[in-house]
Amino acid sequence: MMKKIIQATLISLTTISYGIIYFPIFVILLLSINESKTGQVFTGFSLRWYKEIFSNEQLLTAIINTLMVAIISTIIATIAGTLIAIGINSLSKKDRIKMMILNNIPVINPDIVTGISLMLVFSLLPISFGMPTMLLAHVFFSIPFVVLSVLPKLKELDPNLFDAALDLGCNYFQAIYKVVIPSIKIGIITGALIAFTMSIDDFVISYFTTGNGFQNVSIWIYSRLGRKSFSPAAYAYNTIIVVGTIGILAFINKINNKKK
Amino acid sequence: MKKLVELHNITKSFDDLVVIKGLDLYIHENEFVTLLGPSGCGKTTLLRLIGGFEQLDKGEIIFDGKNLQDLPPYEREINTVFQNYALFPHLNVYENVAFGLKMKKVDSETINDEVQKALKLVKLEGYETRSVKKMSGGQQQRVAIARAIVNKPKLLLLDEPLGALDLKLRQDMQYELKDMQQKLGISFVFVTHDQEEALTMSDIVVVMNDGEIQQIGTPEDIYNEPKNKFTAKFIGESNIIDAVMKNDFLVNFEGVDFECVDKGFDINEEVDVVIRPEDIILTKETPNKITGIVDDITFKGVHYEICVLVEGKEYVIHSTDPVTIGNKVSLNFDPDEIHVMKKSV
Amino acid sequence: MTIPYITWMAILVLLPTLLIILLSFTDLDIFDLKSFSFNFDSIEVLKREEVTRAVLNSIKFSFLATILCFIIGYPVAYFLSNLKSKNKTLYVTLLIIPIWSNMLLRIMAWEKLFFPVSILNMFGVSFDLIGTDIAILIGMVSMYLPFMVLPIYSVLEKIDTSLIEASKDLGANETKTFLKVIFPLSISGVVSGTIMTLLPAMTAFALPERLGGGKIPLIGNIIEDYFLKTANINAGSLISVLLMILIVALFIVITRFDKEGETLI
Repeated sequence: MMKKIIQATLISLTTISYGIIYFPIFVILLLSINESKTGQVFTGFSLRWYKEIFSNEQLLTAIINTLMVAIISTIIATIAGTLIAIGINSLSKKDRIKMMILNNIPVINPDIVTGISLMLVFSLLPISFGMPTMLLAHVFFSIPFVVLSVLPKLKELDPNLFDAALDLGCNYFQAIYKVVIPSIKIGIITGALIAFTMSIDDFVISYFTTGNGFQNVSIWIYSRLGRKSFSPAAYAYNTIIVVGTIGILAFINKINNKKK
Repeated sequence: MKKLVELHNITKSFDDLVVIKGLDLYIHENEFVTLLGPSGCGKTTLLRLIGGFEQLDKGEIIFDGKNLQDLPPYEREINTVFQNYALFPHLNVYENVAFGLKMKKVDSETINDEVQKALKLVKLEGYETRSVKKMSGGQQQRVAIARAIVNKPKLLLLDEPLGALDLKLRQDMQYELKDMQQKLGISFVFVTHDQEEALTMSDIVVVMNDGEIQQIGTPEDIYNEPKNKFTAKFIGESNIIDAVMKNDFLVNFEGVDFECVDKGFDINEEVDVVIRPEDIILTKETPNKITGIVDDITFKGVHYEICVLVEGKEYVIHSTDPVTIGNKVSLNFDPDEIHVMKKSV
Repeated sequence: MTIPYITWMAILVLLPTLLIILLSFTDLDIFDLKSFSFNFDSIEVLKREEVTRAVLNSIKFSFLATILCFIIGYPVAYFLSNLKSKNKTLYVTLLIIPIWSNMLLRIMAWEKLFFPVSILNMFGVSFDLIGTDIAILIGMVSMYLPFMVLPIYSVLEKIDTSLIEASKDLGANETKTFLKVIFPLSISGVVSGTIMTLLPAMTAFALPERLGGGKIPLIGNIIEDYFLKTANINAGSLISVLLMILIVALFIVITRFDKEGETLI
């Protein structure tokens, strides 16, 4: 009897959780097919906002900017982060702890503080605010996450593998490339995914480190919140991403299940 | 001896694979029983059924007079030593060992006494506050044993507990476990695939294969008088020869009649004959004996392992004297060293 | 590889921190170093009512949201980790997907829902919750729940089943096994989840601004005000410094609970 009550509670809580998490997404979906621009009343079913993604120049530019910054910063951060993690892994325990504290500061720091700090530093450097600074900022906050994903995998790695590679004729770089990297592949991919996710959705840090009219999607939205210049095409863009991702995952899941 | 556990018609499948096929077995009080068999024979499943970690498809388990059907593990007065020890990493040695007693709400003074006694028995006095994660395999295993026996169960289940230990430690632990079982007066059901281990420790050995019992008996019975080909092959090394039972006490193989000590077979029944390698003595070529050519010889420390080819068939002999490859030799053995078994399907 | 990294981090982390600390107490025109002078006015700012209120608000909402996320999130993580389904990983991944969805849009969605005139009206429902505590809490739970569930789920998944069997073997029923074995072993996940919920909640910026209707400022809002709206760099810097100290302190306190010490090191 007790077991059934517990089961029922667990199922309800889980349903509520998924509900509360997905509710805004569902609303966004509704708003993206809503004829109305302000989204306060449902005036009718329409797909015009999906078309407008492409016709609204500023939104389109913002989307392209977001993707560009995300892709480039992820690539740089992943490569750098992996190499740094390999470096940190070979340090003595004391040094490693010091490096990790340094590494984790951007992770713990509230994004406002990071945003403002970077803004201050960039104003001292001979860089103009805009894409370069935003890119730099994104690389900055992504690297620690890559390090955090890769390090545990490095720790699990059998140290003999590296020696075995050397024994069989590889030099240091070949050994890393042929043996270490494939073994930590999962950590690298996870790190890259995290970096990409953080970059795509970033708002606060980008807000403080951009300039020159360079906008990513979040800034585009924020500057138009509650104003006429906002367009529900943003809802459409978001819905496409969410539905697309769920679709891909469901598809991968089906393939995996078939394999079993 | 009084029966402690009765297993009737035990049947268990996983998905579509039948793992145990209608098995019957008794375990008595104060008995050290070993379930012996190759991987996949069902011995661990049988152990887990007794412990309550798997449910029976058919059959029943009676423990101390009670039917254990549907009883969860925490209501069975049985304790288990797990293969990977399953020590709680967040508790130290004392807390691990005291766990079961705390569940029974024993008072802390008694717990203290009992834990000390248990640790003394496994030779880990003084280790109370140690973290289990940092201990060696041998030490962890002894903590696991202490944790189980401190609860004074009537039956202790051990799932290949010595598997991860090195040879010397393993052998030491075998003696210690046997000693413990006799001192504590508990019944042990011990699972292993190592036949030497089974022979060393057990009162009774249950040889299993493919979900069925092949033979039950004392270590001497199993070793000296295997009842079928599987047991003969699995226990010790054997030479298994096709033969014909000419009459009681008379068996024929390799074209020669031999006096033997078995009876009860049909006249001219086809049988399997088992002769242990250490029972065969090699001599120079002699008439009226099985003769062959030495094909290979390997030094094994305790003895030489010698391979003799008799008309293309391989005989294995263990001897402390070496022979030369290529020599013709004759095989000598006594009548009571010939074991006749019913032909296996 | 680590020396370049140290340099990089030194420039981007240590230097700005120093700068901010400096800026809290001085007037420093970066381009005209001669005008350096101490200015302790910023300390006065701290005493202002709006700042104290914002700090209290931040603490209040972040703690409440974290507790709610824990109460809802732990059971969900437990339920998911015990599922015996082929699609288990899919269900868990579904929990993460909303994070990919733009945070501002999600905040906007809640904002629109909490407004009396909304598309919910067509279902006969109407809320008037902008500027209420509940609105902010619902918004926070909606945003941060996955961050609580995921770490706890990962840790629960890693618990060796033989430990649970051993616990039952030694006489503990399901409840006792949970309390004495499963929960203690999941603490590191709870710690991770708490950090990933409490810290972002405390420093939230857009969420309280939109859902609080401007009436419920949190620390983040105050900082933005001082830096960008009133250009009071001293005050902004000082509050930022205090925020950093607060966050680091919380982090250290929370990780004390994780005896394994594996989180983030």
